[in-house]
Amino acid sequence: MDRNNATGSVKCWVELYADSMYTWALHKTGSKEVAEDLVQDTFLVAVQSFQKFEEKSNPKTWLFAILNNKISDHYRTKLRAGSVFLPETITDPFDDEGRWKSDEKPHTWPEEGTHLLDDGDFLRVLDLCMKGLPDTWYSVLQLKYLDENSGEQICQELGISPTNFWQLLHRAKLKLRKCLEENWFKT
Amino acid sequence: MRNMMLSCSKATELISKKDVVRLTLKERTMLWMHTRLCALCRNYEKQSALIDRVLRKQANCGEEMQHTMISNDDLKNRIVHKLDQQ
Repeated sequence: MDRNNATGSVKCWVELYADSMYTWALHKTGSKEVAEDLVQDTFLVAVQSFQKFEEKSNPKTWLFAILNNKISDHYRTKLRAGSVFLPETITDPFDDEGRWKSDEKPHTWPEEGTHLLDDGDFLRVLDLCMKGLPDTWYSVLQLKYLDENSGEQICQELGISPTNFWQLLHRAKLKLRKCLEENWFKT
Repeated sequence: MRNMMLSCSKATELISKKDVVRLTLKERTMLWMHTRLCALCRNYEKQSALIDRVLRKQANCGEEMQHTMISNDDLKNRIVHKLDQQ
């Protein structure tokens, strides 16, 4: 496959997929500049590794896989640069004895909908709850779930201890749980 | 026996921890005992698993999710220009 051919195909993909990729990247990073850079980088990588793309596979899937890697990289760099792993203050849902405080108790959630993710309203609530998390926690969650790496690999890459990592995840999850319960499952 | 009982605070920590590292036999036993007895932490464990599934799916199924498409023609032009320069 010669270079012109690759450039031609990729230019065509820009027309077809750049908008949905940009929308996704913007949604994941919350920054217009970052999203634009990531999408642009994705297409540059696509041209360079065009021979790895098999005609059989779906270009959109391939491009999104590259983009998701880029998004992971972005959070990885951000977390490394920040190196702020001090626990940020939240209201502890537990009392001094380690019992759930009365207004923090997890209620039984209604039968969990398997179609939760098809529900636009739920996605909006989830989004708001995610955005309400402190920056570091948000990054940790993104990395944890976007990345196919195991928790241990992520720790190694970030140079933090697994204990630090799961404690951050834990705090983020407690807060997210409360937010979802109050704004979705209770109503 | 008393020492074997976890607080809810510790139990929920273990629920998050087991997602990252393997729990020791003692930790697993203590967590199991706690959740047997504590309906609140049973709720929490279920909810935690649901949140996991939701976040995993949300993180990886970008192209299938319904976001209002935002078009960015400047960006497209810039990329095409960049590709031509390469």
